[in-house]
Amino acid sequence: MKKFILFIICISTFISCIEKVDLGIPSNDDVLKILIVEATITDEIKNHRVTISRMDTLVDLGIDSIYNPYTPIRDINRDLVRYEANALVSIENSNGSTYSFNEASPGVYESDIEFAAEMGNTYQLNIITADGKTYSSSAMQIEGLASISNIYAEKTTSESGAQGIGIFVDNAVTSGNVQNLRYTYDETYKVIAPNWTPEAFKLTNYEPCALPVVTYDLEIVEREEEQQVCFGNNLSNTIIQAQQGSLSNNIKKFMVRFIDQENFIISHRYSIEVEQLVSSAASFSFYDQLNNFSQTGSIFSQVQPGFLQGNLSSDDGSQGNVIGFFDVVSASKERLFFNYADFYPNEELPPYPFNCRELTAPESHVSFCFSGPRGPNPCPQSVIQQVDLNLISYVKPNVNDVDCGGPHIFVPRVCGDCTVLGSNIKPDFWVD
Amino acid sequence: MTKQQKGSCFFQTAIKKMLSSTTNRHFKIFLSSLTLFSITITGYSQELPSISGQYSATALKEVIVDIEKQTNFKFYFLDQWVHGISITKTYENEDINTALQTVLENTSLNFHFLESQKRIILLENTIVYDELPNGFFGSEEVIVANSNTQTKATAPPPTFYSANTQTKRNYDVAKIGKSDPNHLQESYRLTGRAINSKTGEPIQDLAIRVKTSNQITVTDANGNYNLQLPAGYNVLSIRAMGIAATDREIIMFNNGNLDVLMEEGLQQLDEVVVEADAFKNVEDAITGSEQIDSEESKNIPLVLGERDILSVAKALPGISSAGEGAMGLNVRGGKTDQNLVLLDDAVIYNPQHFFGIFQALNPFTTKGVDIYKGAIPVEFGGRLSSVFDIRTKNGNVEKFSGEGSIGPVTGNLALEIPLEKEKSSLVVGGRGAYADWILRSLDDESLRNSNASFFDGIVKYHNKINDKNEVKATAYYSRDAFSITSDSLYNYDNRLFSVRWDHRKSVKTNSALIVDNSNYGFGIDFDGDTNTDFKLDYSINETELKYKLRTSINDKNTLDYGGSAKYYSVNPGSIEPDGSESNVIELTIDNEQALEAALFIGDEITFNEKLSVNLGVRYAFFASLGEATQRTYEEGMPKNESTVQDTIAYSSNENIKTYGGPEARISTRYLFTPDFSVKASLNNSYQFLHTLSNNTTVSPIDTWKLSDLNIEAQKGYQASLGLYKNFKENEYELSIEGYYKKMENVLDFKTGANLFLNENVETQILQGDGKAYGVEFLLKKKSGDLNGWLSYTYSRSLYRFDSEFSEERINNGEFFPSNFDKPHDVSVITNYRFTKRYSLSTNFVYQTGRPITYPVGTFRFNNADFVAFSDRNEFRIPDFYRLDLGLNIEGNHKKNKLAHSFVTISVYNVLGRNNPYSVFFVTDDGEVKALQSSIFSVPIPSITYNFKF
Repeated sequence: MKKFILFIICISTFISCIEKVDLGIPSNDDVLKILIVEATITDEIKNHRVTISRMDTLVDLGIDSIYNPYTPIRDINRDLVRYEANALVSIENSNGSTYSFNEASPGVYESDIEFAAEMGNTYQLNIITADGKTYSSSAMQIEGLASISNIYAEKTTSESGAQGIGIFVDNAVTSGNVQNLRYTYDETYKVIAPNWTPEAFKLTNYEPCALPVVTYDLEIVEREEEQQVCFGNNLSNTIIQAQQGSLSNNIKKFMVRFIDQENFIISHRYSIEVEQLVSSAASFSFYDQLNNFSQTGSIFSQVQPGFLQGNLSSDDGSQGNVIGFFDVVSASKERLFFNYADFYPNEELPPYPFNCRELTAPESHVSFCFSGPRGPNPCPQSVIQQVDLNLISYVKPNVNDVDCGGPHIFVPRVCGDCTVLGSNIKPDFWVD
Repeated sequence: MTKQQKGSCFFQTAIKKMLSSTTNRHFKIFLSSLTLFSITITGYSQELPSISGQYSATALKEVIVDIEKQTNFKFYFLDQWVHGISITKTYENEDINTALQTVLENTSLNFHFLESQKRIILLENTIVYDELPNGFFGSEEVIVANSNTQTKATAPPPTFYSANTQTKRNYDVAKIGKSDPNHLQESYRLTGRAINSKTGEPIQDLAIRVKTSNQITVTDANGNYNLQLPAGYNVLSIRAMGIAATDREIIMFNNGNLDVLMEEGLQQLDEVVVEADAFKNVEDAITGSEQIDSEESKNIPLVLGERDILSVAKALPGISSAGEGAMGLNVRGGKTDQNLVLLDDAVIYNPQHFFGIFQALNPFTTKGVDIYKGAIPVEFGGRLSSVFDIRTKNGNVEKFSGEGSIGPVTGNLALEIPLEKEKSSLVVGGRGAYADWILRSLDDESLRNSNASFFDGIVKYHNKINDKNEVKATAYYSRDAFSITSDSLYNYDNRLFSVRWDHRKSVKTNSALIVDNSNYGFGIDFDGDTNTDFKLDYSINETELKYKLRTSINDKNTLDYGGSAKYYSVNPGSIEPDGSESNVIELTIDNEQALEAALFIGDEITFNEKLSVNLGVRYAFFASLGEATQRTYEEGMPKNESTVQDTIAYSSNENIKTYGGPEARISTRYLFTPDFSVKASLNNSYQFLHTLSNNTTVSPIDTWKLSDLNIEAQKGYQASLGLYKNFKENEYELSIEGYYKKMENVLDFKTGANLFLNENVETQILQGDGKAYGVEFLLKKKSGDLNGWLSYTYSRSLYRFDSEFSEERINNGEFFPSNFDKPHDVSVITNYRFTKRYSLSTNFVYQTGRPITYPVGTFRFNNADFVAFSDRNEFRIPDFYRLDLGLNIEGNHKKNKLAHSFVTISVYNVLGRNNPYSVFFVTDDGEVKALQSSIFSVPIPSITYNFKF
């Protein structure tokens, strides 16, 4: 009977009987060869960029952007993108001019000279990879010109019902065929470390393996650099697109970004620069498909998977070995600032996203090389270990006698040192 | 073995059989003396005692007792022979021989004197042979007189029969007539009537074949038949469409009458699963048709012991589904929405329960299904791939009867209620799953809240008003409710209603007028943790009026003609917030309406015995109607927001767009020999409504969409050619059939299509070409202790979506295998009956794994990481195979039992093969891994108890 009930559960809940299956997929070699090309050139005069990488069979979705205050930085700073170095990249326009690109960092290629895409010309991207294979895009051109006529922030409610601030844009068409719009943004926000103090730990001569006891010098010193006020920065990593039909129907009040009221990035002062790109139908379709792949599947957004076909192809005619899009667009940018108090004047600030409880711990620990008998250790990691791993920030001396207590009160580093979350250099554009 | 030994062997067997069947003391004694061959007695003594008596409606037994008293003779007989016979006679010193002759003249009894022992032996039907038959000991010359000569000289040999030589013992041997020693003949006339014991109606066109001579007769319109049979033992093989095949053993003693009650009783049903007229396979002029009888499919082991004709259909060549537990059927490479499934003439949109594991049809009320996958009869249309014409039984007009079953998950009860004797009846069936309360009784909180229940109910009224008019009405409702996750409840339901009036207009013309309405809907109630609770619903409703006629013009031409009109109304979906807390914005998509109509005419032409042709044409017409708003898009451009040209508003019932055209239905058959034929067919068809789903299987929330300004009608073309051969008196059927199919405007979906509650669903849809081809091989053994079939199909199903715009291309515009492209498909179904009551069935299936799209890797783009997929359907999941076993135990056949029972013990997936239900992908240690979930990965035993009263 038991088995029977189990079976019923099985079929009724559909969490049934799951096991690994070998699909007999021959090898990853072909997959690893797939070239990924991201290239958008605009009508701004600048050094344009082309990024080239290879597909990876490892899945590394989002791991880089998750900050865990208890994990040493050196362990999370792993970027698994397989950038493609030593490729020859050039863009050819219909006038016959060729812009060649240099590798600025592995996989990132920058044009030798500053140039701007011009309306009326077509452009083609050509790539010769280090293994001698050649790839090229279809000829692309700027479809039309438009500008952001207005950018503004308003209190709003998201689709999922959250309260917060929406960043909206209105569009104004200047000329040409403006039907497909893609948006990117670059947001900067002031971060103030809530538990910042003027003093910090300084650990020197640390010998964790010294015998009979660990040797070290732990001092409390003045902080050497700005660690109280920083500027965090994020680039848009979602695909934001809009379509508009005819000239008379300019996009109005299109929400580019929604920031939850609880999001700490708007705690003090926030700035966003929105870039509007006038793209082609092919570009829209490519990014739209990409966007659908990135959404978590639910029963209502059943995603039909398949190979993502961009506008690049291998010159030898073989299929399925390049994913990417070479986009030629016109661009317009607008920047916006606001303070939290502008919208929520007498309200509490959004909670800091990390637990900033004041902690204490024994200053030292048993030598790593001690081989004698040792009992169980109920105490947290010692101060010197955590300072060595750069995990904590000094607050004040400990005056209370508690279990596992030590001479110092400290907080996780992110609570006392804002450089974890941003740069301590004020950006040039910043207006207080 | 010599003939002599064989003879006595038969004889002893016969006696053993008789011994075992009786406990009568008299009879035993009689038999023990009879086994001594030497005691055959000739003649009577001249000095027989005389008797006197006056009997008036006196029981024969009392008469016999009286005679015993008057004489010193003792009678030997079985009580049951004399039971119910009464005598009205007066004798005055009549000699016993004459008296007995008159006493027994109107009975089936003979008598025999054993004067020396002062015994009189009564015999039912037979006579005691005074001498051994001619040829009993071998090579004696046999002189055969002219047939039908009434002489005593060439008495036919006595009849011996043996239990071992016959397989079907469902009926006792029928003994026809009383042997008359003065009028022994070579052959006798057997007349009778075939009657459906359930309904009491005569059965016409019942084929009765004499097994030994292959003589065939067919019952007339009143069910009467007439056969000249050789004297002695004969086996009648009785076959007709929809009637369980039966063999009757009879012994002809004289001319006589035998009414064959073609009862659909449990004990009567034997081995043959897919049944048709013996020669139907060869003779029908249409290709690619199959017939499944619900009752006869009961032996095939299926999951949880549920009888399921749709699952049986999957064991036939050319019919498959995307996987175990997948809804919908794919017929000859067509999509699941290309099947017209009719229940008593009305469309049933989702004939399955619970992800396709159970059929939504009550097996006890379902008579059977005719499946057309090749040449579709001219009266049907509107779907490209197939027609499943499912019929409900007519109720018993004689007596109240019922059938029920109790299985591990479902319970089922069907009743047949006569309303007016021999005229009208009601069938009521109800079925439900009770897995739900098993779940609720569990301790686990999350499981207690999960839900999986379904039920279906059907009522059919049938009234045979007179010979010319017959009315049938069916009402059906089925509903499923289940939750996959704890916060959502899904449900779907089918509701249909149909009325049919069959009318015989003249001897040559029959007509049928049909009105039906069908509704399918589904809904989702989402009640989660966030304030996004909603209710969502979808429904499609259609109403049809159909009038068809059949006229036999002459021997060579039979016309089928008529017309039909359908009105569709679709509520494509609406979503509304559930509760005041919800932030869901209410959205309703405009209703869709359309009219579908058809006129058809077909002629069955029999040129000669060998060549027959079905020529038909059907004009299909579809009009999408307002009230609606439709967009127009730039010509030759992909349909998306940026290519919208105009938005047109249509007023109520305004014509938006029409589709349609003539459909050809041509098929022909040429008989090389009576059991060997070649057939070919050609047809084309239109389909005006489509399901929107990018799942591989029909999920209950698939929506049906009508063709409109931007979504064109699908078109299909099919040609097929086949060879059909029956062997060994139709015991074996062999067929091989090939087909090639082309489809146009088949729907598929752009990558990442969002289909539900999309106001402009055409921007998500691609229309392309499909082609399918295959060879289907089927070998059936239709009778015998071991029967069943073997089917093998090689088939391909390919689709192509090409365009100059990359967003409208799939796999670079090349043909790619469909989700259900499974080249090799083998099914073996066998049924072995080892005793009268026990039989063992097996069901083996092997299929190539279906194609899937696989996530091959990840890449960084636009500051985020994405998963990349392979080409559409580039890979395949592992091959599928499964073996099921079923042991069927018939209850005993005591006449006066409360109910006849039938127990099925089945084991589904005996090999414990872990066949994938779906394959999905997870990341583990940063690596994409394919995981399969399977529903039945271990052998699933079940016991189902069926009863019938």
